[in-house]
Amino acid sequence: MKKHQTLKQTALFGAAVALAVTAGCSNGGEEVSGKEASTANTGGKVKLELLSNKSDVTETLNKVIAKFHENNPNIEIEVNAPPNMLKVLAMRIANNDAPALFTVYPSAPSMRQPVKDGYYADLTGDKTLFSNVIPSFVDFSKTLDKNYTVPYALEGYGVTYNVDMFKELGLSIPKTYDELIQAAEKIKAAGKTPFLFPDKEYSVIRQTTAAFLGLDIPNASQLFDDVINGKQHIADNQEVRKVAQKVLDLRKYGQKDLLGTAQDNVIRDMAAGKGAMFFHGMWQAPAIKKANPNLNIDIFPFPADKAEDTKVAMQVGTALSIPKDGKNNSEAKKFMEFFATTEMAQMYADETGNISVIQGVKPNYKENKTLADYALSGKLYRAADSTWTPAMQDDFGKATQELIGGGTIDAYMKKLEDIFYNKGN
Amino acid sequence: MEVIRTTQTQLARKKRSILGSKKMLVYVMFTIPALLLYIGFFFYPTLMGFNYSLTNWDGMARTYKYIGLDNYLAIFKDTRFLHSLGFTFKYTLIVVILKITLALGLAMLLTTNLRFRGLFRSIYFFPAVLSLITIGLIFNEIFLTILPAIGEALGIEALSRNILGNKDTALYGIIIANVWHGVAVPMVIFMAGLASVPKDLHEAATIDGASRSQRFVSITLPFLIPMLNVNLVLIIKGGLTVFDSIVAMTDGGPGTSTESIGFLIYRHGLLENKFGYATAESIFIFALIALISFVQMKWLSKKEVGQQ
Repeated sequence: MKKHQTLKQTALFGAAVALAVTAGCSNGGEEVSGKEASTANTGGKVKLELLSNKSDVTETLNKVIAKFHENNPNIEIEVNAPPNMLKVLAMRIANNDAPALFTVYPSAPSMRQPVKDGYYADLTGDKTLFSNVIPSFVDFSKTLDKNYTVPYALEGYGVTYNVDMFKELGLSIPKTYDELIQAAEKIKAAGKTPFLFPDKEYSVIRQTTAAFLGLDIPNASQLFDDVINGKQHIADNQEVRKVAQKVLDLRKYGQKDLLGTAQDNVIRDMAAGKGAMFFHGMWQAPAIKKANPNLNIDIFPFPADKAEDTKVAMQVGTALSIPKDGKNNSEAKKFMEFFATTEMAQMYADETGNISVIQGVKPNYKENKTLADYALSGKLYRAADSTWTPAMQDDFGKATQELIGGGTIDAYMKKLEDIFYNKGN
Repeated sequence: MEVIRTTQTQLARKKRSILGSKKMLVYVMFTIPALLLYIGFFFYPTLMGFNYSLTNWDGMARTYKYIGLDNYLAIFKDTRFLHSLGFTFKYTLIVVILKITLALGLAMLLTTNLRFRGLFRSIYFFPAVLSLITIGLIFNEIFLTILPAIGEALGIEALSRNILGNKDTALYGIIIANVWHGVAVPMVIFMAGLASVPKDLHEAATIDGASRSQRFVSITLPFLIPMLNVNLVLIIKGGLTVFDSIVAMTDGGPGTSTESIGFLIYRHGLLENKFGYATAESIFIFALIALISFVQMKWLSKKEVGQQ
């Protein structure tokens, strides 16, 4: 009897302890997001939340915020950079819990739906916000012909290459597509891998192929718009066909196991000196340098068929927006204006390497110098996928992946027709 | 005398019936919290899901339209969905056969008198402790660097590449990772079943001259049927809902060759903004799995020990 009693007591005690621990744990682990939305003035102090998708530049953003706070001591800003930020933003807006400030990509599909639904503040024509932005980029950052965001910097695509390997083989930077293939041939003959393609990831395939489409086809965005609205077919489009062939041609100079290599593996192999060139975003160069600081790498723009047609695929990568009728929009606008001053833009460009679109910024870009020259002199374009929906982007990436995996171009063109033709509504 | 006795029994019966209902009350009180949780977190969302499956909601917008059974009709015409059905069933079939045979074999080995039996049991159970995402990521690296190196050394062309990079062999990469992880728990369940087989039956059979395989089929197997039932339900359910390893290893690729039903529902619902359509797909799968489980349990319970 006594044994039973003590057993019961210990069991009850243990259960009580377990309950207390779980209750305590669940209270402590509250998420930061969602709790600190724009709060009302409490004695003059305003606290704003900046929801950011760019976790790699948080340090620089905080420096800008610190400087802003010196000039505006009653405004505090906190950066919150969760994973899947765009999804978090969409859900919070749908739940009437929009953050005071947030980063956006004005030419990406993630921008179009909220703009159509009227969730972002219309900033068109605001003199103070855009006064220090290079005018052509005020235009470049429009969504559906209006300004819903203040642009700060560009990010885009280029070929990251191993400078040492090029020097060793006596290669110069190719200015045309034919020169690029010749360089690849020389590298292959020397027993090294000319290109590294992370073809396991279809989103990378989609990004690079959309960049090719925009480079080789004039008005590629218009073409896709027409197809999506049912005005044109794509299955018989010879220009798209040529790009598909180009995708396959380049793969001949790629590594042995195309579909099995992921992005991390490519960065690893580039850092180890196993590949000569990697065409993707300019943010790959710092990643490779981080893996191997002794490697000499630089970036050149992917050449067009003719040297004078070469342009760089860019999008506005750093831009801020505010919600429509947000409580703290006037304070938020102050910060957006402050960030657009030449001093702050210079600091941002120097530290992050993103190409600034603010007037007066001196280009100190190291690897991104060539890309910046092209972009700022107007030789830039939006990749063809900026008007597609996320579903189209994924389907396109997967279809191209299947093409690389041994599909025929005919089947590919038919698939594109299925994906794009008359799918707009 | 008789009258007093009848009243006494009547009183006793009344007491029992009151006690009976009191017991019932206590049972019901204990069940209510679990019942509420079940209704709140399973039943109600299922109903909500069914409601959304009749709409064209994209998961984010504030308004949506009711479109009736259009989603369900579209499912049957969607080649991507039908392909994922085929893939999931093929995968489940292979995985069920592999896991059951391996688990049974290991369980039988580990119930004999082996030296270091406890140690081996722990070793073989270890994979169950890891999460499938971790295992998927590690196998990713194995398939990318280690296996091709072995394949090249041995001169086998098929193994010299990342098997996850080929749409015909990616399936097997996922199967390997899942089977490595999923043999542990069925193995333990089978060991419990093997322990329940009475030894004297085996001895009697040996005396009567039955061979090992005859003993296995006629004595051990019938006792294992309830365990087999449980294992089949678990493994089939795990096979039909395979998701973690696909996300970790192939992301549905190459192309769309390793998209399972669960993966496609996730894609449609959360990434491609087709929430209503995705819930319709899930309701369809729910009905399918319910049917399969029902048929399987009915068939196997007939073969259980003590049923014939």
